[in-house]
Parts: sequence; structure tokens; C-alpha cells
Amino acid sequence: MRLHVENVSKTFGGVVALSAVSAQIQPGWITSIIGPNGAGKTTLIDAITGFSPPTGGRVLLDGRPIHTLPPHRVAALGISRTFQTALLFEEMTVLENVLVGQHRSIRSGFWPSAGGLPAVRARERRGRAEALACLQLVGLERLAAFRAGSLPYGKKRLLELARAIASHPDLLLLDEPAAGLNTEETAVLAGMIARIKGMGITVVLVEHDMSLVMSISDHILVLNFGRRLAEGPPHEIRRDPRVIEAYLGEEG
Amino acid sequence: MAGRRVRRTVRVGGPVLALLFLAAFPLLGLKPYFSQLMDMLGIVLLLILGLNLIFGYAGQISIAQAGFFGLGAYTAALLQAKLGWPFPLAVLAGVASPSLLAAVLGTPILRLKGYYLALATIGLGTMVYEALEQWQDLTGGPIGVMGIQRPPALDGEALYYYLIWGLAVLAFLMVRNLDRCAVGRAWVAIRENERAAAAMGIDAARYKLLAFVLSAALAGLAGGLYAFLNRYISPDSFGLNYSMILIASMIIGGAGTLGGALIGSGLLVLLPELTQAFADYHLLVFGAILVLVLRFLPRGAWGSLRRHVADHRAGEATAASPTPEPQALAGTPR
Repeated sequence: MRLHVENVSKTFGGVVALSAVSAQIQPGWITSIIGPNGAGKTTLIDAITGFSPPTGGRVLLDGRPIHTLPPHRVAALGISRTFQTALLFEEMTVLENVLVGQHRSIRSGFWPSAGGLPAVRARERRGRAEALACLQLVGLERLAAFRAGSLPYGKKRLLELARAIASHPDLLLLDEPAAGLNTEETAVLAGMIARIKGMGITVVLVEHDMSLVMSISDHILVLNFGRRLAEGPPHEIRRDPRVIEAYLGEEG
Repeated sequence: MAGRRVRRTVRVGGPVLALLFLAAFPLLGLKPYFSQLMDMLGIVLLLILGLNLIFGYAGQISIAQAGFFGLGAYTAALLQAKLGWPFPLAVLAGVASPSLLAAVLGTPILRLKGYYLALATIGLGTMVYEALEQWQDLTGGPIGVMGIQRPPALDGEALYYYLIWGLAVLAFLMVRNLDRCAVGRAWVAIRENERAAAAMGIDAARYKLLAFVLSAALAGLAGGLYAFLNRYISPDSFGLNYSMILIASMIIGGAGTLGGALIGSGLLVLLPELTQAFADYHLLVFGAILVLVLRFLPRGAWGSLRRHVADHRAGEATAASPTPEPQALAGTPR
């Protein structure tokens, strides 16, 4: 599973959100994308996952172009994502949310489903067991029967993570998973992302929390005004004068 | 834990009692008035079950249900009365024609959302209604179609009753099965958040189309059965009004729930009978109920009840669990 972003550009009307950004996502690594607000981080994730196709350049998965595919087809190729604000199926229970994550592996044909055949029910039961295991991974198993909409924000983020893991992705893109979490919750999240990497899942992380990024990333891509500013391992990025300037410039 | 025993009794006993009642009903020897009401109840249940799939579960506004109902009724009626088709084939054709219409027009229409989708489906329903009323050479225009004949084997009221309710129960079971598997979850996921559903690999366009075609098929079946029940049909029964009344009934009962479909059908069939004193004003009572339900039970009678019970049970399950909550995972309430 090798993802290659090739000269990807995105313009909204006259606004250039991304301009010829290239990147190789190394399999098995945690690659973080950082940069000041408006740098094009989420736009890049949207371009990779089909939610907002690039206006120029290509996205290749194992050499095959995927930037023209709709989101559900990209997901079918083993690319899962979370959103900047947790997007849950609020009226469903916590368990059902995770079951939707498993949609592609537990769905049956229409007629067997409509007939309620034993094979369909057996698949549902296996799905439930697996969904509970995913919830255990993020520590939400005891809340399985709750309505997702009734969870506090921190737990919603964890549920979104469990739902994404349940889809058995090869590549998982996390859009600011620590936003709105307190320090303790962020520490738990860091442990979980490390475990996800341990499961052999390639992770792309868009995040503002620098201590989180620096502590778990294998590789960092820095964007600024829609362009690639720098790229490298955390210890280099930390000392890169261009990166420091971009961040200080933003704060100053 | 007494609550659990009660729930199990209701879950098993309810359907058994309902089926026993349905089976025994013709044997009670009630007046034809009551058996006619029961026949209509079965037909309305088919309509609301269908509407529920596209509107209740998948969350896509459809105001075309009466149009599909009319297309099914006229297809079956004309094929029988004018061409002498046998009953089963005529009814099957009545299922097929609205399904086909939904399949062909569904793809472009279902790309629309919200108000635009509502308008497009009003257009679709109106198109069918106008065709029934204006294409006089074929449909008989406002006068309608007369002389629809049931086969002798189904002429008895009891047998026709069993046919309607046999099909209604089958449709009910089909919707229940879909509700309990990945297909039903995909529909609800699309309703709750289409972007998140797509990120989970759900092809929203395909699932919406499936729900739309199924809703048309059930409406067409209801139409065929209605034509042969009444032996006479006219365009009046299939106008925009009726689509709105079906939607209101579904919402009052509880959109996206099976219990809600039952309650809504019962209300739609029985309310005009119970409010005969108000004569033509029974729609006023209907409207008042709708306003009250939307104000106090926004998810409908059954939907609100089910949500209350589910939240209660979730709380019970958590309280019963001995492990304390890990502090690190306690969320920040917002």
C-alpha cells in the first residue's frame, strides 16, 4: 500500500488552497501534516479521500490514480478517515456506529437480507462481536448501548476513531483528532494512535498539538499557504528555520 | 430485572397476539363495514411501510407516494378491465410500473436534497396524477375505471382479506429484516450524515435508489390490491393531498420505525371514521394531532417511546457494570 501525492493543486474560485504539493506516504509510518491555519492540510486530506477532488495533479495508490474516484470508492480501497469535527450517526447507538464502519465486510446481498436468512444473521452476530472489540480498543465498550449523540465530546472523538478502525483500513487519515481534548485525553489518544500503527495501519495525522505530533510522528510534512514548506523527521523539522519562522510569523 | 421480563413478554407475545387477531378476524362475523376497514388498513400499511424506507429510514423526502399508488392501481385496473389480464399478472404489472418509473427517474431526482428533492417528488407525483386525469382515452379521465373484476376464487371477502394481510405481513417482515442488517443501517447512516456514510464506503446514491424503488414497489402493490378491492378507481384517490396525509401519518407514528408505521396506518384509516361527527373537517383533527405530536413528541409516538426506552436501558446497563470508568477516558462535556 503506497500512496503518492503528485503535484496536487486545489483552487476554490480564485483562491489557491493547494499548489503543486507532492508527498510520498511511507507504508507503516505515522506521517503528520502540520502548518498554520489555512495552510491546506484538510484540503489535502479531502483531495486524497475523494471528498474534494484536486483541480490539478494526481493521487496514486500503488500506482493507480484514485483522485477521480468518489469517496465511497476510495474508502473501498482501504483508505479511511475521520473529520475535523466528529461526524457521527447521532441517532444510532455507539455499537451501531461501529457496525456502519464494518459495512463493507458484513453486508449481504439484498434478497438474503430482505429474507432474514440465517447466513445474514450469523454475519451480523460476528460483526457485533468485532464491533465490541473495536470499542474495547478505545475504552467505550461499556457505552455500546448509548445513543452516539448523548456522548460527551471527547468520547465522540474516540468513537469516530473506533468506527474508522472497524473498516479495516490500510491507511487511516486523522483530521485534528486532538482538537477539543484535554491533556489527559490527548495522552490516551497518543497511545491509541501508536497502537493503530502497531496493527500495521499507515497513519496520516493532521494536527495542531505540536507535542503530540513531535512525540509520535515518523515523518512530518509542513504546509504553508498551500505549498510544501519542509519535510523530514521530527528532530529536523523542530530545528528548521523556515518552519519556526512560519509559526512565529503566525503568532507574531 | 423485572423490566427485562416484561420486555421479553411484549416482544414475543405482541406479534403472536397480532397474528392470531389477524387470522381470526374474518371468523368474528363482524359487519362488512369492519372488514372493509381492515382491508384498507392492510393497504395503507403497505403504503406507509414503503414511504418509511425512503423517507423514514433513508431520510430522503418523497412526496410521490400517492402517485406511485395511483400508477400501480391504474396499471392493474386497466390491464384487467380493458385487456382481461388475469388478477395475479395485473397486480404484478401494478408493482412493476411504479418501480420502473422510480428506477428511471430516481437517479437524477435523488441527487437533490431537502426542499429541492421535496419539489421534484411533488412534480413526479403531480405528473402521474395529471396523466391519470387528462389522458382520458386511456384512463377514463376524472370518471375513472369501472368494471374491475376479481377472479371467482378471490370473490369472497374473507379470502381477499387474507390475501391483503398475507402480503402486508410479508412486507412488514421484509422491512423488519432490512432494518436489522447492514442495509437498514446504511439507510439510517445516510440520513444521519451522508459524508460520514461515504467515508465508511457506503454508496449513498445506490442505497437511496434501492429505497426509492422499494417504496414505489410497495405503493404499486397497494395500488393493485386497492383497485381490485374497490372494483372502481378514480384519480381523486391519488392526488398530492394523499401523499401529504401519508407523510403526516408516518411522522405521527414515528418515521423510520416499524411500530410507527403501524400506528400511523391505524390513525389514517380509523381517524376519519371516529371523527365522522366533524364530517369534512376530519383533516382539521388530523392537522391538530400532527402539530401536537411535532411539538411534544418530535420523533413521533413510537419513535419517542423507543428512544426513551433505549436511553433508559443504556443507563441500566452502565449502572449494572461493576468496573469503574477509567478516569483518563472521561470526556469533557461540551
